[in-house]
Amino acid sequence: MLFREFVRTLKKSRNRFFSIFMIVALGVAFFSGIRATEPDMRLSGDAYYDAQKMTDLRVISTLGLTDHDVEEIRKLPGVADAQGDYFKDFLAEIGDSEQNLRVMSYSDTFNVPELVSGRFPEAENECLLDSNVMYMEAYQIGDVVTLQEKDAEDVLGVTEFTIVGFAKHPYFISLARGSSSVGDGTLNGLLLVRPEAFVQEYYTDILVHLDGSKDLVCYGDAFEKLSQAGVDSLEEQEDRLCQDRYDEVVGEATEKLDEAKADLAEGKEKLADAKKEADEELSKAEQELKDAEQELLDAEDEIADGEKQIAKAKRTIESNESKIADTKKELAKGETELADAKKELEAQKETFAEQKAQVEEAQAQIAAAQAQIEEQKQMLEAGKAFMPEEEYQAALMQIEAAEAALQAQAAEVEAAAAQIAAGEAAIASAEEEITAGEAKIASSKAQITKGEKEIASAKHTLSQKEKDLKKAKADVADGWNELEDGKKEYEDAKKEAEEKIADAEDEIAEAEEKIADAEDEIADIEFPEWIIQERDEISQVYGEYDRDASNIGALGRVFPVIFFLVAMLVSLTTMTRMVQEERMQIGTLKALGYSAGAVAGKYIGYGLTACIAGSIVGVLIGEKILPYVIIHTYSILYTSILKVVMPYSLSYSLLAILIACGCILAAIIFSCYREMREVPASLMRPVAPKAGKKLFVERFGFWRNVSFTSKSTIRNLVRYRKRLFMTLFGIAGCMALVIVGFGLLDSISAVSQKQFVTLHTYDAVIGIDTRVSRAKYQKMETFLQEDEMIEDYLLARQETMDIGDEMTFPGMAFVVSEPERLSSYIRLHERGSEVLFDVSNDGVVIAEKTAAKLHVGAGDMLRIHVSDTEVREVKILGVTENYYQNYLFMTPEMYTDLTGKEPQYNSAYLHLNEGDETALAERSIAYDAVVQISFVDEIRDRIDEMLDHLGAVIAVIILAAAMLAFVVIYNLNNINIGERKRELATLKVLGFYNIETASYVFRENVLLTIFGILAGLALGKVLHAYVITTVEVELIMFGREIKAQSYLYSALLTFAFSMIVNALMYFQLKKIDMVESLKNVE
Amino acid sequence: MSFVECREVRKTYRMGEVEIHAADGIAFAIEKGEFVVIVGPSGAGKTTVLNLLGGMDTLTSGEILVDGVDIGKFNERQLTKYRREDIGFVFQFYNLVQNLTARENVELALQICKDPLKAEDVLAEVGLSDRMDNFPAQLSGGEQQRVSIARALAKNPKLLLCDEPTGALDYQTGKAILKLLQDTCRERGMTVLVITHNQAIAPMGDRVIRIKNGKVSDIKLQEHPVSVDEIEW
Repeated sequence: MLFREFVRTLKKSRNRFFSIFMIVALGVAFFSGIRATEPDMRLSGDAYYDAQKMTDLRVISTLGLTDHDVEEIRKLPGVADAQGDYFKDFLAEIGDSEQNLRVMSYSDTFNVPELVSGRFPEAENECLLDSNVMYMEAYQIGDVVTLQEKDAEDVLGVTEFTIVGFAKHPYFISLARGSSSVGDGTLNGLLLVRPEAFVQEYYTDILVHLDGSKDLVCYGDAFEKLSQAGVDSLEEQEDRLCQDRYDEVVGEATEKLDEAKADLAEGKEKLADAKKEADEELSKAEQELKDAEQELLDAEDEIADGEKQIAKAKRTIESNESKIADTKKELAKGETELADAKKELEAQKETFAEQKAQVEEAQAQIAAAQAQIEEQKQMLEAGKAFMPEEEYQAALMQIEAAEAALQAQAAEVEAAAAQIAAGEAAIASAEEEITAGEAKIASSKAQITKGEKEIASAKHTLSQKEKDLKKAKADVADGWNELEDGKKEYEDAKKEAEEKIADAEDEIAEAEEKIADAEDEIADIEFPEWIIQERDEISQVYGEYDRDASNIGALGRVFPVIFFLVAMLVSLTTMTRMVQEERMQIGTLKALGYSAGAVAGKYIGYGLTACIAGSIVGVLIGEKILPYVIIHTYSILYTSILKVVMPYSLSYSLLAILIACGCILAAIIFSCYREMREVPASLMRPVAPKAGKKLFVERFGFWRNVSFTSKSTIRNLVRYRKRLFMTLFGIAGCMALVIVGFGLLDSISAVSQKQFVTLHTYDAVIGIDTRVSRAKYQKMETFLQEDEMIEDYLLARQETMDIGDEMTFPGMAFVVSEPERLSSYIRLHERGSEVLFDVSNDGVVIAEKTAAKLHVGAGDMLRIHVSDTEVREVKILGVTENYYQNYLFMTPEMYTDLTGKEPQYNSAYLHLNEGDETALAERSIAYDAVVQISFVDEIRDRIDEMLDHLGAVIAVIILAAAMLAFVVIYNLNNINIGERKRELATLKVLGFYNIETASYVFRENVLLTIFGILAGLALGKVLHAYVITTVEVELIMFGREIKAQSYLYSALLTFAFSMIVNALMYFQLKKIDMVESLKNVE
Repeated sequence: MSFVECREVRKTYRMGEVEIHAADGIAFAIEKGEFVVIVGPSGAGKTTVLNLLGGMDTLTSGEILVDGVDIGKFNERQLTKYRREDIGFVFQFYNLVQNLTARENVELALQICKDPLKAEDVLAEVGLSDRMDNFPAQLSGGEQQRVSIARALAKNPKLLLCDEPTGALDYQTGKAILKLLQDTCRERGMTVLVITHNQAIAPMGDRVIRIKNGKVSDIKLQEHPVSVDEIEW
């Protein structure tokens, strides 16, 4: 009978049932949904990894691995399959740009790439390129990838690959690619090639599938165990196989050594031979040359003698000739003298003849002159009388002088006549002498003729001799020439010989080097070591995904608390109300003799029915929708995991149902506990209405001015505390959820807004290729200085450096070329502060998230792994607000101190003037040194695009919030209306319009909504902080603040939800029959 | 023309296939300032008459003229206005708002009224001048009914409708309340309509209307109605 009554009650109180049902469904949906997301994420991951045949273990050896190793590993128990594999990092060129690529071999048995577009390679020189977004945008199928490393050919048969498709690799299910051993240390992408493309003799690693791993969920304990067992069994083999490999490598090296040694011996022999041969030949040649030279010298001596003789002979001839010539000259002179003497003689003879004539004439004249003088004397005397005495005297004197002169003349003539006579005698003797002289000359001439003849014959002999000599000289010259030739030949021969020796020596040196090398090699061969990696070591993101799943699980422990709390309150108020309503009936039943348990059973049954029905619906919906939305949202990060596996999880479902039922049951028992204890008699009486009470506030004057409906509202609020709390919690929960929703948007958009607007104030960044020539680099710098659109720029180097203690993770060293100018490009300051940090040589400034992850702060030391073996500690100067990347800001000096290298700046940060960005991009990319240019507004756009994906999550949260608000307000209204039907009907009868009646009820809701919103502000802030820090991913720090407008929107939305429910309830209110007012109190 | 006139008023409820005629051609007239008692056994249709007269329900057919206006043709809003301005209602179970004091319960009605009386005056009139600030739970049944009457009177209505005003009260208190109603009628010239199943009250009305099976069985005008004090039951 009681059961029938129970069923009727259910039918009658649909609203009440629905309230409990809804809130339980909501709570359970959230609880089981979020909780199930954790295993669902793992299952989805597992499904993906299984589909791609992700390797379970990976063995890397320090000495490489061989087919022998593969065979041995394959034989191990528990190993399903093993396969050799290759990978190596290269700098590669695709189109104009340079990329750090990891070239990996792929197969269809291990780590199968997931083809995104194109096809799988069919030839060695074809490849699949990483399908990361940037590549998909920048390159096309058909583009060629050229590997740049020098030793590429030793590893790969081909160094140019044609892209035939884009693919994802199971090692990298997110966008991050990790670090690389080449270039700037950041791996940009993957290049998947056929294994045949690798020509290196050994495998880089061996991939291992374990028996049964496929059937296990990879993130589970069982899998861990299996994986660990695999590691153990591999470790057992490690020593043996390492020994084999060591022996093999040492053997190879020893072979090489022997070879080298043989080479050396040969070389040495050659050298000896060459030396001997050369020596012999050379000494012989030298002797010959010496002989020839001696001969020539002898010949030259002879020639010199001959020449001397000739010269002597010539001299004799010459002296004879000159003698003859002298004699001839003397002869000629003698002849001339003779001739002259003859002529003189003749002339003297003539002169004598003339002088004789003259003398005779002179004698005749003198005689004539005397006669004259006498005549004149006579005349004078005769004329004496006629002339003055004086004249006479003078004339006389003249005549006398003339007479004297004449006498003198006569004397002279006399002397001359004597002289002539003497002369005539002398001439006669001279004539005699001449005759004797002429005879002498004739004999001399004969002698000369004879001498001349002798000389001529001597000359002839001499010329003959000279001719001979000339010939001898020519012979000697020839001999010299020949000798020179001989010498040259000798030199050549010598050089040749030397070269040969040098060659031989080189060979020896080479051989020696080889030997040294080989010896070194052998010495260097360390005993190999295996690195056996499980999946989380193979793929960083494998573990991250697991952690993210756990994060979601953690959320699942917090979020539903709100719902369960509200669910409890809702059932508490609802059931309390129900029990109160049926007081009389309870009393009657008890009076009829039913036990308290039987009576209470009805209410417990009622609550549990609603609860279980709600739970089931909640589980069914929650475990599908929430994992789907959450995993899809995560697929922004984990781009590979697209297939979502979400089976119903029995354990979480049962757990959710148990918790929900426990809560509800507690609430029910609490609400009917008192009634069950009362005696039937008192139950039969209607419960005395709770007395109205004057409130504290009523003591103040303004109370009188408060309208009566408001008074009633306020008094009601205070009277029914359960409802107050239920509504407060519900609305606060709703508000908090909406805040979390909007806050998520704020926080994530802060990454772009704060990072790229507030903190990073540059306009564009240029990636620089540091390996171009100095000139090209300078060209680019000139461009940066001179381009009109570039206002100014700052050079920096970004380089990945591992940081941290036990768990290291990659930090991004940011080396600022001019630290004092950094603040106009990137502002470094603590969150909430405006005081800028100086980057100085004393230490580094690190990002907020980095600091939080390492649990360090300003003044602490940061451990930087500058190489595999070396760890350095630097002081942390400050912790800066930063939302993306684990930046370590440092000075060039600090960088040099850490790495021992001068920083090569690989990026330039630009401030731009107004202008066409596309044109600037084209201008800049034309420089060889410019790898790429990205504009900040583009980066911002890209991040904002990502935010759109969050819409689904926000929608789910807001929907849940709306439902929470709905359930609570609906329930509150239901109770209020149900409880106060009479009151409301009375008001209607009194002539209150519907709207006035409604506002009388709703005022309470509005007030509670407002209080709930206020409480929700605080709750939302706390919840948001928790959610944000829990779901945050590596590299990115989400914003911690919620915008004021988000609070406003949340408040408005919550208010709107509340009002919508009120509006819906308005119709129910309208339906209240005024006749109710006439009815008796039940 | 009478102050209130009901002409062939019918009210039919449809319960599935069955039609129930709660009022089956009721007709009567009431003059202004009369103290009218409507009596009839349970289920006779007197509450229906009250509902219709009070504007709480619409009629199926017929006319109800109050002060010359046919309220039978009113829509819901007009009916609300009618209730608010023209009708005062006294309930069997007082129907006071538990959270408001006596004074506040009266003022609650005044708040929506065009031309109200002062709450204190009305409460004084009903003899509650010193209980004005008490909550209903602190008042006795009679006192609560007095508050209820004060709330109805304060609106200064044209018509005071009382549904079994003594039903929940003991004999003495009931009489006191009836006296208050009668006095109000006499002193203020208020038209008062008391609906009751208690035949004993009938002699005190100026006009007694008996209803049986949804029809008026008898209307009796009493020139000299008996005073409450003389009635016993």
